[in-house]
Amino acid sequence: MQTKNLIAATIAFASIAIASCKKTDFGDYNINPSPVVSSFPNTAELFTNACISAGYGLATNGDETGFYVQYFMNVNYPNNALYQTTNLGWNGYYAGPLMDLQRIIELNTSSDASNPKVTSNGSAANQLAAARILKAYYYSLVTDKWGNVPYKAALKLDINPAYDLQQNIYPDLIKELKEAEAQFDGGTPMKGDILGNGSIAKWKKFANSLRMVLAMRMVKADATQAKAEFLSAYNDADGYIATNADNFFYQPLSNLNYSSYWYLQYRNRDEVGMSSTFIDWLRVNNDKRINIYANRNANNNFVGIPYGRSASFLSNWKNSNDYSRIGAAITAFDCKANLITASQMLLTKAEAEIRGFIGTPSDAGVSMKAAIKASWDQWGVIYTQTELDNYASGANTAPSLVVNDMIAKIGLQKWVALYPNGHEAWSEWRRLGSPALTPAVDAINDTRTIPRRYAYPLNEPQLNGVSYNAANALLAPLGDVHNNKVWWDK
Amino acid sequence: MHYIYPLKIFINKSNMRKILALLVLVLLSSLMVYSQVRVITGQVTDDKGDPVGYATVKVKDGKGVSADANGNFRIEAKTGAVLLVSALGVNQKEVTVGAANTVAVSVTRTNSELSGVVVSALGIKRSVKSTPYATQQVTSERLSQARETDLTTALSGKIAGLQTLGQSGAKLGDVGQIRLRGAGALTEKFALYVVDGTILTNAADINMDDVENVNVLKGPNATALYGQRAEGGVIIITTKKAKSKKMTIDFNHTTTQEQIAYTQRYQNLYGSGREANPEWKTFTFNSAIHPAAWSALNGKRFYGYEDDESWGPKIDGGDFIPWYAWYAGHPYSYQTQKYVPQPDNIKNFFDKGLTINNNLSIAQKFNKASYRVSYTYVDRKGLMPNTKQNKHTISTQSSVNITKKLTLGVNATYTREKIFGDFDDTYGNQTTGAFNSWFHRDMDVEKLKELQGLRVGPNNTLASWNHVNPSNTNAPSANFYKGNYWLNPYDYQIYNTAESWRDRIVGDASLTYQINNAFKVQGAYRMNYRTTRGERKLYAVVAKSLVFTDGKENSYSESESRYYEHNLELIGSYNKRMNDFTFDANFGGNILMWNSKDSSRSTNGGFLPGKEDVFALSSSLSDVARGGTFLSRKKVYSVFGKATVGYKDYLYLDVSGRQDFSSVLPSANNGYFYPSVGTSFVFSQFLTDNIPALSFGKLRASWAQIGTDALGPYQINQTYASTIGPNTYGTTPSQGVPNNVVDPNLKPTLNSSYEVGLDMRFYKDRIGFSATYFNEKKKNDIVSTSVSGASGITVKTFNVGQVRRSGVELEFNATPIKTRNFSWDVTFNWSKVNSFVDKVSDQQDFVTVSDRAGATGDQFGHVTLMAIQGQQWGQLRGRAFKRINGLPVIGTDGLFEFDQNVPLGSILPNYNGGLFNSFKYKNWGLTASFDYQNGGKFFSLSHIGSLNTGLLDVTAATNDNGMNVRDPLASGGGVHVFGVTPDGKPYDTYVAAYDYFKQFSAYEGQTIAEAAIFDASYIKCREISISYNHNFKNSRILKRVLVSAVARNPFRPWTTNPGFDPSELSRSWGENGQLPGTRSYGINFKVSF
Repeated sequence: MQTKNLIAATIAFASIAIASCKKTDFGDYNINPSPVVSSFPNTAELFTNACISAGYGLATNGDETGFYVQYFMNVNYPNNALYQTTNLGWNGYYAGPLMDLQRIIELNTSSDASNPKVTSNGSAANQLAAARILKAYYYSLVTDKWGNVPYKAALKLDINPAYDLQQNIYPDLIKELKEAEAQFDGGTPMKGDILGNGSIAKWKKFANSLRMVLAMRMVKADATQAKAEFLSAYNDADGYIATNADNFFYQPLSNLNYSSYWYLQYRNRDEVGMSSTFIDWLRVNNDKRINIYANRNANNNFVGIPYGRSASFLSNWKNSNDYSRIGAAITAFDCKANLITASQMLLTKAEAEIRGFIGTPSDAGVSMKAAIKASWDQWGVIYTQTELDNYASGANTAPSLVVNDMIAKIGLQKWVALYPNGHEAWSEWRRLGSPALTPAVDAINDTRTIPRRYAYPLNEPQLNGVSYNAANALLAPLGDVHNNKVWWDK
Repeated sequence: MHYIYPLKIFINKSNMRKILALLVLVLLSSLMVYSQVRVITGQVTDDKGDPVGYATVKVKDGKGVSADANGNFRIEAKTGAVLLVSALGVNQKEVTVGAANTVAVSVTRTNSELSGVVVSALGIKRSVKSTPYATQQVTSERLSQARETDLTTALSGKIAGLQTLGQSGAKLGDVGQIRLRGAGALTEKFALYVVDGTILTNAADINMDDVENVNVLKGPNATALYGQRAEGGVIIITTKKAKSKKMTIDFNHTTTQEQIAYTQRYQNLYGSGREANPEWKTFTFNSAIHPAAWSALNGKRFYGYEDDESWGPKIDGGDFIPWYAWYAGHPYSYQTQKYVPQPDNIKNFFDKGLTINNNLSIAQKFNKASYRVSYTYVDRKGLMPNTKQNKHTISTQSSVNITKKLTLGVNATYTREKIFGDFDDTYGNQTTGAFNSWFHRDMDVEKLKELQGLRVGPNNTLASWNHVNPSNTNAPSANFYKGNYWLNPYDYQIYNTAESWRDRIVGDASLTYQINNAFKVQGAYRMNYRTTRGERKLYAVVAKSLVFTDGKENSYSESESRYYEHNLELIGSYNKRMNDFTFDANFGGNILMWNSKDSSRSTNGGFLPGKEDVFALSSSLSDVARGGTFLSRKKVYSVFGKATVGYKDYLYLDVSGRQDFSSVLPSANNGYFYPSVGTSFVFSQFLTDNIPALSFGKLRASWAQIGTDALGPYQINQTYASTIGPNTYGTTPSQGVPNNVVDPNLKPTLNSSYEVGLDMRFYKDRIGFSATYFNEKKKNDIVSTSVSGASGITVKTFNVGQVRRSGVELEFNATPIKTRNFSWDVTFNWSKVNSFVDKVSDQQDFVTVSDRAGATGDQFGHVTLMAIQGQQWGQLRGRAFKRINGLPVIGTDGLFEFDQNVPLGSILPNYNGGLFNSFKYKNWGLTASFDYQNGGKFFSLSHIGSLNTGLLDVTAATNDNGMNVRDPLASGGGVHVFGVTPDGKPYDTYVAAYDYFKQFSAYEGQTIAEAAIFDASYIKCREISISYNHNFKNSRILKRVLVSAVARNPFRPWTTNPGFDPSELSRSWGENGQLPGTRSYGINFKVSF
């Protein structure tokens, strides 16, 4: 009986003792035992992650925007070419590479900067410089798509971030690029850098090039600042991307997880092909890039799918299966995803020349021809000098000293050279108004015009209501719609 | 020795209760004078040999005692004394004490479903009189009337406040889930299953043949002692144990045939096409480009095969070229067929399902031990072609008295299940995904069946009903021999397969030490170990036989999932009766540990050349893709206690408390305590004289809290996962910043609930009812809310939500007729629950709710299931018809305008319940069970899909002009549309059917979800059974033979959408292209030796 009482008393006492605690120590039981999971980040791995995104849909390979600029057409699901999408989500940018880069910046500027997982990945200055440049690149894509977006208040875990005006974001991006370009030091370069492969010189050229592109993007909205910033970047001693060897790209791998975007998207798909708009222009203008950009159809011809027509209209096209598919070079698993190329920069330079920012207006023709050559070389086009000369003097390519005429021609060449990078091509088309694109005949959006921006993410009014409403008010009278224009699109 | 035993106890207790003991001593001393008074022990059992717990045994005109939970009692009486034995739910019996010191008392039950004992939390048996909360018990007899193979379906309609979330019988292996009392949290919570004390999170491996009875604990008041996992209520399952000292052998066989019961209502007037004004195409043979055999088809008509819609030409009985006529190699090559309706083509696609269920059990009880061993084999052939399931279950429930005081108990069940086939029940699947969204109403399904496996064309591809149209000017392309979007569904079932295996061991081993009469200690080890393996194969021929599909590559994948749960439990019980008081206490502790590992791998980029159909990871063309390996583990330490004090068997006070420590919570704040208190008052005690009809009346009230951690392992610590192996970019690993941030100061959440109830029985339990009102509030609900991605994260998890639910439950039992040969029992239940969302978070007034499959709505986002602040939980939100003064707004094109993001109603019913009838005439029995629901909404994607593609009857209905809606507007056709113009003026017009129904196209983005929101009200007959039972009184071998015929889902007296059964929806929010509902008939044969 004594035993019984003893047991009862012990249990009762133990219960009370335990129950009066607020906590118990479980040791590391709530720590994920997986060896690949850690609670402290590795800046090199974060950086690699942010670099990889550049090769896919977020950055260099938007096929939806590729439909807007009429590179592509789909016989079965033509909705992208009919402008069905209005709102677009942006979590892929903010909660993706931007947050990874932000975390690298935070780690290098806080007490964590002495952690071996930070220090072993390059000097703090080099980590910060590379992360700031790439962050500016992604932010430029974000603001070019939506216009005014959360910027200063973003990426800080503030769940109701305010929006900034694009005219305030652009100068800050340029400032970031300028500062970051000057920030690199002689220490160990950023590790995990699969874009520049550890070459600080390449990053400097990329930063200067991007600065030139962004400066030129502002030309209609703020010509003075555009010129000043362009010159500042153009004249930087570290140079810009002027030859194909300097091209800044993401290199896809045979591993399907990292194969080329176009390989992953379209290697087995029959319903997507070249748009008639693009293929007809290349054919009529004897642009040799047609052989790279597109495949011939079964009858050995380059035939595009009528752009902007409905699925029912295209029924016979599907039936005959008689259209050019996206070129084998593009859908190859290792097709490079270019962030910025020499041809793009030479065309930007040509524009600066015809606008009188640099050189003389007649230099623009020289730069444009150099750009064409760079683009043909970039894609491995086989050509004779005569073919290049003939092409460069064709009706749509011959240099002109009439500013608007030349700018239109530069726009056309950008359109051709940027393929298949829909994002950049769409931005430049919006800015330059060239090529002259006819909106889809069977467009299903209200205005039946080519979208000029994306409307904010559908859930933004609920998730970030006050900030969204303020941003929406700034878009009056048209409002948050995809035919409204961003600041630099005049 | 015997008679001084009680004395010993009291003496030893005397230091605690001296006065009491002294009194007892005096009393005992006086009793000892009468030498013939001795201690009689005995057990009260019912007519089936089951113990009758908590019976009152009383010496006539003398003292009474109360039996324990197992009916055992001990009373002092002398020879010749008359013992009055009574209990709740049994007829009173008198027994005269004879020479023996033990008596066996057998009583008859007044009502087989009204027991005096219920199994409460932790398996504690307690008297119905003492329970301060609602609990409802169902016996196996009632559950197994229709020989359901799964518990969830068997419980449908039998418990007030219970809702079964089931699935069509065509989906093998899906046993559904149970929702009790609506929604008690922002997220969907389901009931927990506890088998003989061991916890299971789903009902998949609960073998109905081993179930003795089921008790349902609905709210925190009843489940508080189970702690955090019991938030969604608990289904307590007690398995069968040996009852008789003679060996009992039961054999039970059931054969059930299952068939498609209902489909949507289709039109049978128009065939394939996708045109506003469908026209026939005529084939003109050209020997230069066409295969020679096609000359036979010259000049014949055909329609658009490549379209997968039914906006084609009117079915006129004439000749036309069917899809297969163009292909060589079968009896119908190059021949036309009659263009005739095929009203039953969908039903005929499906096979007849066949289920064979055999169970053999052997049980016996000895003086010191008992055992029961049971083996069940279920073999099912599915309704979907090429699908099957089989399952073996071996279980044992045994106990041994090692010494007089020490008992070892072992319960163990091993299950092995194998399921073969593809049961995809979502949009775009190759069977119902096509039939209800993209199909030809004139499709001759017999030909599909006959021509399955037909290979055609230059690449030897599978012939499809949906191939590209032939051209008069071009030679047939390779695509002509492929499916445009769809394959022959029979082929798909063969060349796209999934196989899964599940092994599970569930069981416990316990040691119980009976320290003395009043006090026992039990230690138990419990485990639940499950391994599931799966394999999927997609054959190369599928990959190459389709024109427009992503990822057209053959593939093979493997997955494995392991779950291992241990529980160590120590419980002490003290039961004592002291004069007018009873004292029952249970206290103890539990250590829960579980860990799981999930991994998957698949081939990547197709197969290596020459390994086309070699299904192994080594066939992979590219590096094998690894889905990752997910490890998870969790511990919870708990201590708990409960005490019930009873006074004179009519007044009870119940107190309990539980403290949990969970490893998943922040280490500074991982413990939480929650108490409960309750009382029950058996008032009938005082009224029997005034109201003789009242046989039992009880009032009960209780208040309880239940805490939960509601968080997964590791979630609290933000972690970075590096890529590994083939998931790495070359040799450069990468990692991303996690998108979810969990509040580091997260607290456990707390449900507080009170409930009151009244239970009454009349006329010797011939009529009874039980009514309960409950009100529950969940504070600090853990919300994972979407946040603007611009913050850098997409989800934030914190304690902000609050949900309130309240409701009423009613149960009603009656035996309206009871004669010697005939009886009629009826049970009816009804419940109404409000689950109101008080608060979501400061950022958001809604949060999306995931269904069982983890989706928050349909494929196209027409509807999203949500908890919206200020509204009933479970709102379906989506586009609604724009209305002015209740009238739909119609644009100039005659089509409806819409409003975005409108709450379209809650999925929870206004009220629901069931009705059970049982008739017995001599050896014959008839039972019928119904369930019903009023209100609640569901969304049907199939409805949207089949409006858009002209499959439904309404798309070819007759309008008020007496013309078909598809007839030209000029000749009186069209859909009559009423409403108002955008500026509010009345509008009344006819719209061409094609334009009208095409506005409900999911394919062109979202359409108006409201058009496919249905009221989920229904009345259905769940099961009917007719049985004949014969007991062999004189046979030494045969004891009993029972033969019965059963029908499940035999008919539905009422429903709002005849195409789908609201009680068998694949998703919480509705259906996404699901498989059609089924009905089954079976024969059951049971023999006992």
